[in-house]
Amino acid sequence: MKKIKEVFKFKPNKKEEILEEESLEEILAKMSEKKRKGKVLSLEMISKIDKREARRRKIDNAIRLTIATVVAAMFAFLFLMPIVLTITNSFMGSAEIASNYGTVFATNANGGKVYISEKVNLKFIPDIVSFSQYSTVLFKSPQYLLKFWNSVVLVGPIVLFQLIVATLASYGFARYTGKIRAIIFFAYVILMLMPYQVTLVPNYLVVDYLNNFFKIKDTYWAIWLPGIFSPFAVYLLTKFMKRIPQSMIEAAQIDGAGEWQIYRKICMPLCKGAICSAAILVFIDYWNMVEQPLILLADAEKHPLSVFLSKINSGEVGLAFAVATIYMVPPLLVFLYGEEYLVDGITYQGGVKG
Amino acid sequence: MKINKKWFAGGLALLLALGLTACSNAKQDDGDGKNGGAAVDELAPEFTYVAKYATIPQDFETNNLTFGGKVAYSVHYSGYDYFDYYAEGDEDSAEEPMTFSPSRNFLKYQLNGGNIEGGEVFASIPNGVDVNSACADDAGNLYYVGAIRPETPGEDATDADWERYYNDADQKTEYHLIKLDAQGNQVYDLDFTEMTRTLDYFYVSRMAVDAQGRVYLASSDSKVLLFGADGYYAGIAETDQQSWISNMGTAKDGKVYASYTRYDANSSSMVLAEIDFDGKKLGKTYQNFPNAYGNASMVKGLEQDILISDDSALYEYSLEKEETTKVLTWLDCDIDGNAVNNIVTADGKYYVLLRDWNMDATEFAELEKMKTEDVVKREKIVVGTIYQDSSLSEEIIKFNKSNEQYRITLKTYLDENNWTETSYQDAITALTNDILAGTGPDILELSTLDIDNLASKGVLDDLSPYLEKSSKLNKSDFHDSVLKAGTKNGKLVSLSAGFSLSTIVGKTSVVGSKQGWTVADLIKLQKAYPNSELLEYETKEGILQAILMLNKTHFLDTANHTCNFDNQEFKDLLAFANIFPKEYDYDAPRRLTPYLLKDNSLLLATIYLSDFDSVQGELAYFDGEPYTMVGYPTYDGGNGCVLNLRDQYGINAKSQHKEAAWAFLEEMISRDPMESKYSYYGFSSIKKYYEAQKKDALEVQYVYDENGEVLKDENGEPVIEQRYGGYTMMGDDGEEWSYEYKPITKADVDLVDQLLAGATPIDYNVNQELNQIIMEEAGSYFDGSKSLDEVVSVIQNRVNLYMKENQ
Amino acid sequence: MNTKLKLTKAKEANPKEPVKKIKPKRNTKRFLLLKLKSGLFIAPSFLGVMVFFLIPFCVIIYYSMVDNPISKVYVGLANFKSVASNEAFLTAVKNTALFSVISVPLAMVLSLILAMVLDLKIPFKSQFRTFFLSPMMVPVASIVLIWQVLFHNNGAVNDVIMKFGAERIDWMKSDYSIIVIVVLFLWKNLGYNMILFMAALSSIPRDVLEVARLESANALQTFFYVKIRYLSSTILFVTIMSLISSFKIFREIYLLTTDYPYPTLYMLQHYMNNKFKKLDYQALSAGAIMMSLVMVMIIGLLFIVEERFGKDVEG
Repeated sequence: MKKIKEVFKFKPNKKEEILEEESLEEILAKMSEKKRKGKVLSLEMISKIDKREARRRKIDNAIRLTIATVVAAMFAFLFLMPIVLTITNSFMGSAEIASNYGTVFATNANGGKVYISEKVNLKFIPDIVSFSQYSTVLFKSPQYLLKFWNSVVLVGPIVLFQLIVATLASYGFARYTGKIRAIIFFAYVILMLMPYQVTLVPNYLVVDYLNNFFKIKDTYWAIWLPGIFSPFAVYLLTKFMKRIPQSMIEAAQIDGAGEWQIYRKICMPLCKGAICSAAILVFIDYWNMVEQPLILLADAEKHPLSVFLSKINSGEVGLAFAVATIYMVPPLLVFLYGEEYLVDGITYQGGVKG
Repeated sequence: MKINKKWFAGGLALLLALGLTACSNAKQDDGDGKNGGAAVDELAPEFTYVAKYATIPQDFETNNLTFGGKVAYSVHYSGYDYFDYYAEGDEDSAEEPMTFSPSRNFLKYQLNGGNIEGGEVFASIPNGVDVNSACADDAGNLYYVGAIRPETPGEDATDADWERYYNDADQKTEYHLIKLDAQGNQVYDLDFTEMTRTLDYFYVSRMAVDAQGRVYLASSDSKVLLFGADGYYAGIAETDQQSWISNMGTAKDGKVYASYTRYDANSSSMVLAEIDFDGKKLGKTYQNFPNAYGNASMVKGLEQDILISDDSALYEYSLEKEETTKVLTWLDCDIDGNAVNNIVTADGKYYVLLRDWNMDATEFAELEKMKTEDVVKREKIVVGTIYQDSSLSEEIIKFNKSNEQYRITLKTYLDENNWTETSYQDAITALTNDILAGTGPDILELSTLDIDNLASKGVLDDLSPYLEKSSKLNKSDFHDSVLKAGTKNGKLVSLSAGFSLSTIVGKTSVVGSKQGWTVADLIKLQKAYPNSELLEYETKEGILQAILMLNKTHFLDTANHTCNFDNQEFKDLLAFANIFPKEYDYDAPRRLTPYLLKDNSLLLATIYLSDFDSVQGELAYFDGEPYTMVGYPTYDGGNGCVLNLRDQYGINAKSQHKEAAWAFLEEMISRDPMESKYSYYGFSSIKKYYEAQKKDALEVQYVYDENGEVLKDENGEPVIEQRYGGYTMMGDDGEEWSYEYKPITKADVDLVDQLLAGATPIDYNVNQELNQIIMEEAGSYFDGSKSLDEVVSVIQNRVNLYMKENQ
Repeated sequence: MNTKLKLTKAKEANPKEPVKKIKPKRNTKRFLLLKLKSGLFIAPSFLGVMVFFLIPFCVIIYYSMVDNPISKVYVGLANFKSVASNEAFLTAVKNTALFSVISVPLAMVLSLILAMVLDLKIPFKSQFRTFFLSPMMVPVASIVLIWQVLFHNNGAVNDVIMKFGAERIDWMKSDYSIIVIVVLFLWKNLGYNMILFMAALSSIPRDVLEVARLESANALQTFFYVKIRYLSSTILFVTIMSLISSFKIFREIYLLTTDYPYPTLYMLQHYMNNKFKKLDYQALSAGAIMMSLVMVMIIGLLFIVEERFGKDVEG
């Protein structure tokens, strides 16, 4: 009894008299007393009350549902607005864009910001629908598509290999826990939280030093390697792997499976959801990276699209929206495809059953 | 959503496919025609090219020089010619009759074992014919375009006659295409003057011959005139978009190709096109051709189809692969890319003809391919700069040629081919990273860097010990102001070879006679003349910038790491700047500056002095009235003159080759500016050269007559030779103002000395953020959307933060 | 009694023993072998983290103890002293802390509430889910553009305010600037957090909820005593993710305000970024180390809380 009370410490409903600090036993005893004393509602009345309650509950539910839907819709609108804006603006001609947003992107001679003196408004619907932005980006100036390809080439291997390395590592963390490992894991979390200014120059120095052996400076390896070994996915996946019941592992061991087989045949399939969700998060993170390529890749031609989008200058405002739209497509597809995994991956349900 | 999943998977695949195809297209169609993939690993090339200079005949003519196979032809002018009409001081000419009897010949040279020999007359050119351009083919046939101009007016010609002559010259010139065979006999002479009349104007920019003997003339920027093998006019081929043809030549396959720039919405690329003779148009196009402007026409390559050069490197281009390979960098061969006049391939080797027009020097070199390990190793020093600097390259070449021990290489951090608005910041970050990692350059060009910061971090070495030990330079050789500008915290960290001065000038009757004034004085002046323009092209921001020029640190309290903008002085300054218009209307009719100054419609002028000769030119607008150099206004006094160092060099404290670095710096800075190829050097930082510049400017040359006596004008005054002519300006309202240069006077020279003595060096890169903050916030005040107090308090807050951070 | 039965059922469905980490009861040889083998699994990641994260961190410690990155003269703890007493640094710390303290709990609470609201059977649930995730996809530049246009002195929000007759506020340059950033942060992160919570909520075992309802607990009580236990792990996760995001938001702030913003927007990372630009690497490193110490404490605390609080509900 006491244990239950500890776990579910609640006080009884106001409909009945509030009894303070009585044990459940006493409450139950009192109820049975009341029954005996006849001060409890008769069955008929109970059913009537129940029916009324049921109706009320139904209406309540309906109202709640509508409110909830409206709230959801409001938030959905707020969240979507910038995306919709980007997409619709990508169909504007460049003259229109310059007249609308030109001043926002301008920089003065010193490189500082120019004060925006006219009122700038967000335009949702273009006056003239024009495909000029897209035709420029897709056909005439292939450098943007090249940058898009750079982004893909940069992010793809990172996602793939970070997950491979991370699943291995999280399996290792989950299988055996000792003091040292706990400390290492803690260190992983701390390192994961470091902002880039802190790690970037040391990274640069390390890459520079390694360049004496491996020639990685100014190549994609300078970005791949730190990305592949980032502790982020390890953190995500370890939590998950720890939930795999001991029983399954022991059963496999009895069947004579070695560690590697347990890893491959049991843990990996079970964690599929978590792996997918980790993949999505890592993808989003690195798809948007800006500072690392800036510092570690000297050659501007190798920069990914995210770098370009972070430094739109007044000459390119016309294109920016179309480029941004194209830029958003892979994350969108990744999301849509893996959305269920994203959600499932973090919950308890992700296939641990059976 | 299950149905959609397949669609999305499909969409993803489609997108990637799009990306893939775009990528493969992009790899071929490189945005700016940037030279793709160098085949040679630039870090450790296996082969390098070394220039082996050959002998050339003593009077080697380079006029219209063209190579064909192993012979070369050029045009030689002899005899007294109307070009030489004005030669003076030439004793011989006094006896020769002044007649127009030039004789022109083609000379023939042979390329023999790497040297040029010969120089015998190959064929004569008929009288009156100017060789417009010439081209030879592999068989030794020579084709040239001769222009016959109408006769120039004679001695009794009036100005009107000359005017008529100039107007008619284009219309009345005859053009002939002439072919001579390898023995010098004329094969045909085609008069194609009629065809030129159809063009807006005609001149030949490039000339080429294909394997069939058909001639191509690139003219009027975008058109190519085609001529058949038997000497007939065949038609015109034109580029699309009327793009200017930057280069044209014959490739290995004997066909003629032309390169031009194609402009797209937001970018441009260099395109190479085959010229389709029969179709009279430009045919197949090829991508990734280098941006090679320059004197040298493209020729057939050794390994690939086309050999082409620009001022930094020599490239070969493959038509099949549409790829450019860099053969060598001119700087690495100690060759100035700007001097390349012809590139030649013969006997499986590369040859280059260099022509230095300023020094009138010609050189011919074979580029010998050697294994890098065989080349004599010299200690390598790196000079790091942000921007490209051609005079620095020139110095490097000079040094590398003469010095056996050290070799200088240049690293430019800013890629001017791929310039974006943040390129400058990125270049600085890259340089900073290199310095941090210990791989920074040995010599740094500091004029665009924050020298204060670098000096305080100990990045720069103290140059005083080097000066003490040096035999060429001494601290006392330099002007004090220059030394002061390069000294930070007591250490001399940078040296500069030249400088310029800038200051503000006003009429003495308006601004008084004292040099240097305060901001309060400036405000008073404006109030006294409310309807006049204070400074040329004044705007709110411009005036604010001008006043802040020398006063950036006035509002800062570096001792307490805080700032004082929240006071009446600064508010007055902003309010004052607000009086002026927001933007300057450049389209509005404006009277000429001298007239504006005369009647006080314009009160002040900014002048920039970079050498003695230009001093009076800058002050000419005052038209003789007395003027005072009041300078930029200050709060604390001073003569208000700004000292701009042309470039500043320092040595990296962590460099491993400090002695070598100093050797180069010493030589570069101690070079006499009079010997320099490039005319703009500024005033010399070194006192003795400065005095020499002074003397040269003060020297007066007289005009002599035929008997060797000084010519005198009507008043009996000696006629002074004009170093520069004069100029006339036409105003918008039809007003005219003309000026003729007079020699500089002692007073002018003294003025410069005076200014220099009190000049304040300005470091534009220190506290740049301050400027940004002030300008950004002031904008909202100038706009009227915020009140003065609000803006000032914001500025105070932000700059305070800046000061605190940089304690 | 009936109640008793149901209670026991709940008890069964909710065994108190958590899934314990492996403590092999076999002999030590097996134990060691397991240790070794699982260690091998960790090896590649560990190696990489060492080289690319740990060593750089040690480099930072080194830099924090020298006077400047070029001359490398050892000065011990002097940098820490000077940085800790630097007013700009303190401003940055204050602002960053304020921002995190406001936004992380706000994000968490708001998203939890919204998740609960949306947990009901509203139509188009999965479409809504996609919409809520969308802010994560938008590139920085578009966001910055929109925020600038909205919150500029001449922007849309001021327009609306002025229509209501109030004075316009220069959002980015006044003490209200933190609001702009908090709104930006919430916009970016609410969606994802919401979805996580929605999923977590839907995974709470039904029977426990049943029991609670039968025990006549009202919604509030159900929440606080039942749901939180199950959500605790998610809450910790969301908190850490939000914390990470609150640092990442620097990129947007930087693009909105450049190097030296109005003091209320001056974050720790502004300080670090500026020091980086000026080659003041020692100050940057000292600041970073102090920041990591603080984070170690916070994260450590969160870990302990999660261990204790959520221990009983791991299922």
